[in-house]
Amino acid sequence: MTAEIYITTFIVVSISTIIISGFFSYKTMSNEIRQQIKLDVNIEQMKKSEQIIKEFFKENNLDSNVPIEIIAGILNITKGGIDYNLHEQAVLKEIGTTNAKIVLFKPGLSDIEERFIFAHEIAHVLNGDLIPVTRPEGYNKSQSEQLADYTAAALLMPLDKVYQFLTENNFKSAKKRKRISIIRKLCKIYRVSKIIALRRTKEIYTLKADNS
Amino acid sequence: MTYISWINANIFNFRKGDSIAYLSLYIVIPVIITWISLQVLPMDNISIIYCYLTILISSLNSIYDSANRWNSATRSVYNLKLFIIMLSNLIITIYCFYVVMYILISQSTNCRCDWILFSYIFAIIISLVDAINCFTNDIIIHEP
Repeated sequence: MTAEIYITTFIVVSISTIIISGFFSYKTMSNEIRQQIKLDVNIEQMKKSEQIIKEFFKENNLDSNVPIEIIAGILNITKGGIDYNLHEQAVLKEIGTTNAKIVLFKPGLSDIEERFIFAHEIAHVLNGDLIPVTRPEGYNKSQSEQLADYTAAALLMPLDKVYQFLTENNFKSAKKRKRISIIRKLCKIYRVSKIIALRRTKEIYTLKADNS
Repeated sequence: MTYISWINANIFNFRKGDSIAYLSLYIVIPVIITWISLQVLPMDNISIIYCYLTILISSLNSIYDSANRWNSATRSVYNLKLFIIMLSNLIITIYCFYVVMYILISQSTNCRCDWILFSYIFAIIISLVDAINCFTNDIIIHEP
């Protein structure tokens, strides 16, 4: 085999890969992100969830920026580590008869994923859902799961603080590149994934539009 | 396994800097090294050995990087990708080692079967797709 055949093959393969995967990745990721940020709770449910959080913070004299671990402590919920037999993302269950609860996670989750899932399980307790409860993978989740996702995002990204941040940065009128940078900042500040930040932004604007 | 699960199990964790560094250090440089080595091959046996040793070292580097990215906590698409990259580099490593040993022992070069070096194509395809995904990941933010 000659060096020319070798380098030509690699150049052709690389260019073809860039073109084909660029096209398919854009299409697939675009559909995926649209599906993930699609609002699956209605405005009344959003308002009710915000009200539950507001009352909880008021009862316990907490600031909206309080770390999720403190909220968990008040609700007697602790992180229980990894369960290697778990097929869902996490499970929340009671331990003993002391009303204490534990959250077990599936292996391989990133810190950000684990943080959101922990908030999601806390949200189940705040929403008064039956325990034990699991967080399934994929889409088409039950209504209580979708509501817990909303409440979890609301716990991690407080409505007024995030809205203030978005307004200060002129998110609505910002260009695409600037929007990406604002969403990245939100992800960094609140330690959430891009999808959660995007979805929360959408929810916040929906709520504010309804209020005005 | 769906295409989206393949996309989401990004070996660079969607870090653009990491993907650029990887592409230059473990794709562009090894391919250029191999290309140059193949170009200067028709020489004496010792020079040929040096050429194959260079290719061997660059593929070992790539195996080392993939091994460092390995997530032993779980079986996943992420690890499958790294396994394919490591395997394609391992094939090259074994081939280069075989050629070097053969030349050293028999003092002849009729053991060469350079099309094996094409196994690196799998590593290139996987890492290029993931590198592109690091960039397309940011494109979709139009909402709300």
